[in-house]
Amino acid sequence: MFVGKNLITLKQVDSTNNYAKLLTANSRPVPDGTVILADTQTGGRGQAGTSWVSEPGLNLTFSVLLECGFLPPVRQFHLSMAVSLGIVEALGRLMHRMAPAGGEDGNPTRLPALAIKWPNDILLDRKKMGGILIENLLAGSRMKSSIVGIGLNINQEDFPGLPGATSLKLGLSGSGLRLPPGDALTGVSGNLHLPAVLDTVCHGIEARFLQLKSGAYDSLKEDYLRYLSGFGRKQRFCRLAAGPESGAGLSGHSVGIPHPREDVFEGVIAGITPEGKLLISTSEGMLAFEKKQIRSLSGN
Amino acid sequence: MEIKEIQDLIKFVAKSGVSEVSIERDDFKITIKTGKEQTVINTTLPAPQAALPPVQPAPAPEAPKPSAGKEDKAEATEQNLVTIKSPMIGTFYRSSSPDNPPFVNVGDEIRSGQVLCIIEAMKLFNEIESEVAGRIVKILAEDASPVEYDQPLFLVEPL
Repeated sequence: MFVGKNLITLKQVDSTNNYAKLLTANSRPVPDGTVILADTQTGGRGQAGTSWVSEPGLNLTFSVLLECGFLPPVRQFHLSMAVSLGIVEALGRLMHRMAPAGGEDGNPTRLPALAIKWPNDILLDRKKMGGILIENLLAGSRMKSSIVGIGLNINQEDFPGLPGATSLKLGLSGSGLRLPPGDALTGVSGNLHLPAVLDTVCHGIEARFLQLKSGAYDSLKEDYLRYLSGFGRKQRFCRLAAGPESGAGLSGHSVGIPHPREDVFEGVIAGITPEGKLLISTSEGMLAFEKKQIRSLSGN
Repeated sequence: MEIKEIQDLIKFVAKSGVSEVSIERDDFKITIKTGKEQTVINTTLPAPQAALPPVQPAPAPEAPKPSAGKEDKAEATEQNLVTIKSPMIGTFYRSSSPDNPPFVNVGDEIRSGQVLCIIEAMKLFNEIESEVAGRIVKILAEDASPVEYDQPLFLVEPL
């Protein structure tokens, strides 16, 4: 395993992605798969400038450095799919490991549902448990390296003002699952042991990354769609105005504003385009949307 | 269209502050683009008029004089310019955030490996490094605007 073999742990940093970027800018080469882990991240970024709220020491905030010279830039959404898939599969394995100890009365326990919200949020029972922010470095039109920033809520139990947020621990206790005593996953005070979770997640990412490297784009996409929240289900969407001045994705830029009522429409998520746009089957036919152009009105 | 008219039109466009004007008629098409540092004129004239003398670019206000006024030399430079194109569909950003200064401006000398811009697509942020050392002659895309695959982004004069 190469992902996480070289692990750099920081007490506190503005953003592990920024730290990784500085590291790669130095002349000494950084080993492929290097992970930079921070106990506290002060400037973590989410989408459209939303900052990532994380209590110190309870969650996993880390960046993975991956050499991506093999990947054509137009295929980079497949990297995003590989990473999110690797994460949900790893979390699924962790939960399965706990399941036997779970059922209070011996009945089979229902595991919390893992899903990916397009493009790459990690959902646990329809609430957001994690996010991914990928920064690539290109020499002209050639991919060099990727810095994959990942935030996963693991042991945090309070999310003031964030009703849509959850953590792995919250999701598990909601399902009546308890950690097996003496398990390597159990840390002190009933929390999940972060290094063990990180190790499993790195394994998951590596497996899917190697699949990406082998060029198995179609099967990656197929598996991604199996986890895609709302896939194949009829739901209502809202078209967002995303002019050049409004729909920006960098922190601080404003986000799209909803159109008037008539721009609410019904459709079924039918897939994604090679560049990662969401394909929605509607009465007007098949439409493709970018992140800033659309919002689901059905929650997650 | 007479040369005089074209010259007047160029002056008018340069003064107006707009960045591009295109006029198209049955047998005639003219596009005038102004940058901060220079003015580019592309004309498509019908065949009989093709022998007209080349149109002199009207200097934009406050523009530095092109290299010592030698006409043929300036032309040679134009041909040597390197176009840096977008490697993907996405949104073009000239700075890492609205509070930060642009990575590069027209006139800047850049080295190979220097970051020129960010192209964002589907929550993937791509820092594009220059593969050539040179000087930025023109920036061809607007900040925070959508760009297509292969769309020219920068003109660089190799140094």
